Amino acid sequence: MSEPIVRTEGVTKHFPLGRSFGEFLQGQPGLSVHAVDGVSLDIAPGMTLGLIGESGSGKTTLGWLIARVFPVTAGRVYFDGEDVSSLEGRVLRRWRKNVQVVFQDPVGSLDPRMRVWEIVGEPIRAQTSGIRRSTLRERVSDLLPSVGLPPDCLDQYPHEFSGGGRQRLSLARALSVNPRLIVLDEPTSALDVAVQAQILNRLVLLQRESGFAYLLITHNVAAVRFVADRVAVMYLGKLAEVGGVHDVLDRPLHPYTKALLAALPVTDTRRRRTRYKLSGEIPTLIRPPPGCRFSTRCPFVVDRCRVEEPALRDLPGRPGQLVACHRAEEVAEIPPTALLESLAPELPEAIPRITEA
Amino acid sequence: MSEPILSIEHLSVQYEVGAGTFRALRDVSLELLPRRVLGIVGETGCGKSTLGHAIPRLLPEPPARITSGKIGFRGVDLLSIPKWRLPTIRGTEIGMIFQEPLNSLHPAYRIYDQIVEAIKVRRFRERKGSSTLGPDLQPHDYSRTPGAPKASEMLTRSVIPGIAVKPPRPRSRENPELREEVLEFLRLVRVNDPERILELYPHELSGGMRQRVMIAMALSEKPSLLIADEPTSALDLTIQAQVLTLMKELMEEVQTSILFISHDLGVIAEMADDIGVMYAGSLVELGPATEIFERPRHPYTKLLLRSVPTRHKEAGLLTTMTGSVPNLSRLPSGCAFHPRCPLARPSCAVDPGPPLVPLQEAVTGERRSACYLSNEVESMP
Repeated sequence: MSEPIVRTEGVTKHFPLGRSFGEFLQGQPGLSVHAVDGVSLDIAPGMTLGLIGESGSGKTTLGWLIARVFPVTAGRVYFDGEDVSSLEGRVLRRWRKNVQVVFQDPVGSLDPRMRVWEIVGEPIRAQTSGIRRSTLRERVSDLLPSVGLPPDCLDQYPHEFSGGGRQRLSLARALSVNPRLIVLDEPTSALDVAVQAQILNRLVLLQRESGFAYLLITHNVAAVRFVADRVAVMYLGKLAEVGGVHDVLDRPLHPYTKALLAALPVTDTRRRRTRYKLSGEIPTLIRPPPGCRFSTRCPFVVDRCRVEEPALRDLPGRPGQLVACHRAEEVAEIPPTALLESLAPELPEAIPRITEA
Repeated sequence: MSEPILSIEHLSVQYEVGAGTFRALRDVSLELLPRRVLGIVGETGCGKSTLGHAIPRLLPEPPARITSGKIGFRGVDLLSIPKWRLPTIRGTEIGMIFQEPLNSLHPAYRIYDQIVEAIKVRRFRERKGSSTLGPDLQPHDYSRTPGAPKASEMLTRSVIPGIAVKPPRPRSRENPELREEVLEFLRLVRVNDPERILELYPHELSGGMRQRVMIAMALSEKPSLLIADEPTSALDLTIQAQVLTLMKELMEEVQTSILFISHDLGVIAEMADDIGVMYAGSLVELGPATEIFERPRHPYTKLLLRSVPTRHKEAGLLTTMTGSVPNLSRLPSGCAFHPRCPLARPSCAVDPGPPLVPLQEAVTGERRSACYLSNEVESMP
């Protein structure tokens, strides 16, 4: 395998919370949100890493750390072997052409008062000082067909586009400086399934042509299954499982991955008669549970899980798949569907019935 | 076959705004049988939420205008009854759950007070001893007294203008019997630690918990029809699965009929007995869920199902529809789907639009498709 384009080593991001004056006087320690806690992973050049997890799992924060939207609290981010976590100022700005981000919200991420050529050309202008307006417009109009937009919409405003059209503009903006990596932060979450299919196809075609790498951050498992080559699953700021797309999604090792896949609504009407067995809520990131972070909801939990934090490790017979679970060997062959049970016709007595007989 | 709870006939709704007339619903007809779940699926702007809001007459009129049709609900036409009777049906006979529970819950009241309010309203009506739809019903008509506050305002309005109402905190005056009833509802929706939840305000709850509280409130009135408009779309996958499981279990207990609106084909497959597929304001296909998923008989349904990614990119690109959803103020002539339809014939562009016709070979239940070429859909490329 070639040298990874991005390598993170124990990347950590804590967002400190404010302390009240009273708490300060009492000498209470300041709390912080542990958004990302010691994540190490690689992205190979020209490949797609799908990063899945629920809201609050830290997947967006991790993506933004890799794109250097904000600096890390601890750990290192290497891009092409070079430590970029400490870059600053002009060097950082010049480096930014390597990594571009497509944000989730197609309305909020485009300035409503800028025209298409200004939006799409902005990264080019930031990288090339003194570029002529006519040159910039020409480069933008050459770029637009590659994302499926007509080249003559240069003077339109973002509101004239549909959700899918705006996401294409975002994508064109990211492509404009020929980046090596594009961080796609929930690129299709705001879109309908038919429009999503068009955007996903476009992403695949663009990667085949230009060979850049993607970090696809999403909660949409179906999109990851289609686009990704490798998948990383995050839960409460930590990696639960990493591996090839078919390994992780078809033969998941971590109980959380199994729970996530069991929860996925699929177009199969037989699921009508099943109930989902996992209970409990996602804990807060301010005081994450000790031991394994999934231990509060895990159906396979044992005492050790609540005390000792599992490290990411590989399993014999599963090359290229890493999992952070003490009981990975025991639960490895349990399919996600084991977390579904058929809907009981009779309900427990404890639950009051609110209908009259 | 039993009488339908809800039967909508040729319902058309349009929004009349400065930019033009948007035809949000065109000639929609459907029936919902008792204890069945009818799933309505479609893309953004297809009119599925307009349909959900039109049934309890919650559409803002104007700009919305119901131009034609009938909404038969347990034998009463909701479009022809006087407006003052609508609040007696909303919430009691027709329960509603919307996507964002934070918008449906009052931010300044504890969960206890919000559920108690629903229970009190029901008890008040029960004391009056009348079915909400019965002709003997004569609730106080606030609209008759000029300047009188609306019922909803009376709860939140300050007596002295300019001074905000204090959120109620009558712990000592709490009725233990009412409290027990509220707890019962929270237990019904499987809330852990209901005693603690009662004292909290909506913002202190997680999204899944709020949606459980909304479900508890909607069911506390024992509605015969529940309209669930994207109830789990704002929730995380595992939480969504929990809430869907809860709804499935409650369906067995409460025995209400549900109109379940969602853009998510997977969620619809999991919840619905029957499915109505909507496109550009009209119902294009209607039938039992399994049949719709296995043998779609409208080209749009087939293409929509195919655009769900189920395989890896190496196995080929996804099938996509050409073009985009039409603007509801400038609908194409004939069938609204014909510009994107791979089966379209020249006649599809001129015909005033095929009606939702029953299919002959229906295996179970009734199967309808709004396409003249429904027999060719199966062999569609």
